[in-house]
Amino acid sequence: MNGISKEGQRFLIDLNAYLMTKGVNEKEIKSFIEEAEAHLLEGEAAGKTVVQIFGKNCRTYADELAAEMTVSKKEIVSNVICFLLGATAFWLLGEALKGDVSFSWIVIFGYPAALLLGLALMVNSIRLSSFRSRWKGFSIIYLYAILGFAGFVIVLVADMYWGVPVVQLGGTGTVVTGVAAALMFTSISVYLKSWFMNLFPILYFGPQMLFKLWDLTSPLYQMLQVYISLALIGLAIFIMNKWLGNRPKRQ
Amino acid sequence: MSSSQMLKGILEGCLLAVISEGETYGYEMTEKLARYGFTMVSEGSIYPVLIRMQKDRLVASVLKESDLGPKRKYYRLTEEGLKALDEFIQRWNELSYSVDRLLHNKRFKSNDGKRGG
Repeated sequence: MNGISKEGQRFLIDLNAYLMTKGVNEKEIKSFIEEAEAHLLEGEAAGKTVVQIFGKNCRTYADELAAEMTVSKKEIVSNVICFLLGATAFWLLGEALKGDVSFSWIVIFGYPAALLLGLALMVNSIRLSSFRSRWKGFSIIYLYAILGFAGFVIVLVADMYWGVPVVQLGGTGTVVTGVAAALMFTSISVYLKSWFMNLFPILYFGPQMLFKLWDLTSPLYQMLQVYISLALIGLAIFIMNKWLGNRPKRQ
Repeated sequence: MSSSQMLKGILEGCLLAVISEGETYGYEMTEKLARYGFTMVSEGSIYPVLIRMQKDRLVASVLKESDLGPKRKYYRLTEEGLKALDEFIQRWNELSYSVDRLLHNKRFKSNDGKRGG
């Protein structure tokens, strides 16, 4: 996006994200973004602004585009499967790192429900945060992420107080589960071509391991650990966004 | 029909006419449209129409290098596009003829009314 104003770059990034949440075919999005980039480059060089080129209401414009583009059900299903498998691998990895893989009915039904809620919130937060100022957009995503994680925290706390293990694995089973989960997570990140994804388990489980090391294991510390991890992930997303915005275009 | 829907229909016909003049890309199309006084819609509004036209196989596109940086997507009319342009010209002539006559009579009566009052 060399040569385009910051406003233009943000418009293209938001448009890309918004169209993705609408389930539009990735190739069509890429093709349009390239075309819009070429238009912005010439338009801005001629002294026009993003508003003059694409209109005042970016969301309405994005909806008009989405209505003409192909919605790829195959891609939506593949993305949802990747999300569910990735989240399951993430969860199993956490359990294995704790050294105790055991599930109660609360966990078996609670986590998938919290996961689906999290997915719906994530899609909505991306849509809502698009075409807003950087800080407003970031606040919306952060707020929705906290809400999404709250679902997991509720299941975690409920399991802590009322969960009765119905599946319990021994030492070897735990190691095998941990390795399998790590491999599954890495495979998904390779499939999605997202090396950044591998950073999330480190950011999330890092504080957890440190809290465990310092013997801070009360429910209050567990809650604190979750929010520290969230803050780190939020910071990583912010840095990634900034990096994507400043990244010179690969020719 | 809202005025924006009507404009989109007209915009499609006008884009067919602009592309029929020779292979062209998005920004160039908007400049040509502006030269003809077509400034009532934003430049970006040509793209949803172009996407639909390409899906309907009225236009075909090819990417070409540009000195400015990103590749440009050049459009050209297909056989179906040429037919669609002919149909648009015919429909437009009929419509504009009828509307012109109607409005001309209206203006005439309105001027008469003013004179009579």
